[in-house]
Amino acid sequence: MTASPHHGPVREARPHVRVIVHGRTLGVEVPNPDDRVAVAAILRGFPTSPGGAAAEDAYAVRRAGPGRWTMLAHGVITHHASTLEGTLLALEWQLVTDLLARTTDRFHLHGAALADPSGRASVLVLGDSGVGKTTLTLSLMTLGFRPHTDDVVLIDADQLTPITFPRAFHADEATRALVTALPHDPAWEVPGMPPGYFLPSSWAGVASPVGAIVFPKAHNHARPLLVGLPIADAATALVGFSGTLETSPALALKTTARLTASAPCYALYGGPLAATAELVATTVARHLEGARGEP
Amino acid sequence: MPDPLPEFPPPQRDPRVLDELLADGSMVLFHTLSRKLMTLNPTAALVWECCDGEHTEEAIAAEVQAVFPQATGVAGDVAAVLGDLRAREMLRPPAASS
Repeated sequence: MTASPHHGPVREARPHVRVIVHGRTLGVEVPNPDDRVAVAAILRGFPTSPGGAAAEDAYAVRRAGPGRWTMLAHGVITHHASTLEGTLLALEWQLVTDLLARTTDRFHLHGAALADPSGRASVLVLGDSGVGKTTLTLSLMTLGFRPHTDDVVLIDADQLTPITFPRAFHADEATRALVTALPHDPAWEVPGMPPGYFLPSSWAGVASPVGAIVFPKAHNHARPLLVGLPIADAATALVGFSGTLETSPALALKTTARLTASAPCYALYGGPLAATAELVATTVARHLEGARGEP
Repeated sequence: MPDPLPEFPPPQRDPRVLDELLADGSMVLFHTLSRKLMTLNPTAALVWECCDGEHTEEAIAAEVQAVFPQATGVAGDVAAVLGDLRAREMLRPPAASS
């Protein structure tokens, strides 16, 4: 794999992958070269750590024998798996858990966040696993939206803006098939990326305020429908997808109140994928026009 | 002869409950111990605000009636809201009040 001095993973003489995640140097010791390529690939979205910097958070992915992997966090074995894919999932879970534990001043949600093509507004897509968040996210990307993050959304609680977290997406074959059937499908293939992962080629840059919050519900309707939610319903739904409610409930409630006051919230009943993405894109654009006082 | 209806002391918010007013006047409550969430419509939010341990149920109804003079059945609505708040343990239990 090619090392970059500024961005992307670095394969060092020592068997580590080192990246910077939200200002902290993270090191993953991966003795096996093949495994190291996979770990480096899923962390490729994060900037690399300068050479010689000590890792503030240390992890390890090691082979414990034929068909056996172990994962360590801060010197302690936290996970055993019979596949590399299972070990990578455990590594990601640990990284995100540690990150969230350190960022108690931020509001986090289960979902995705994207900047609209103009970069002036963001849309949050929130919902339970399997409801189609990643599918909608990828579909919006084909319309020029750029992702802040998928799966875990971090919100700057002061500015009410999503924070870009360039973690590799998880996308199963069914999701890939749906999205690659669309025009302008994103580039899927990234060298060294393990099966089931996808890394966007570009991410949202400047933070933009949340312009709409969408809660995907059932899909496969004949045509998509966005239904505006009363604020109380939206607040209940939104805070229900926040892990911050457990760790900092006052922050969670206050941020929820501010978000639901500033951005329209919708239940999305999805129809054909392209039409559904178009509807969301149009709604965000209309919100922006309204914010500018245009007819 | 039927049992008399229970008499409650002036209702008082459980201090372990966090509340946040929403933009439309509704409110969300979160009990930090039971981890239960509850939303209140604007009228119920007004009832909640009056649960200071000093207003009796009748006084709360009077406050609500003053804000919504055209409303009918206020006393029953207030009783229902308080019953719901008690059922969800958002109010201090009577023994712990005062």
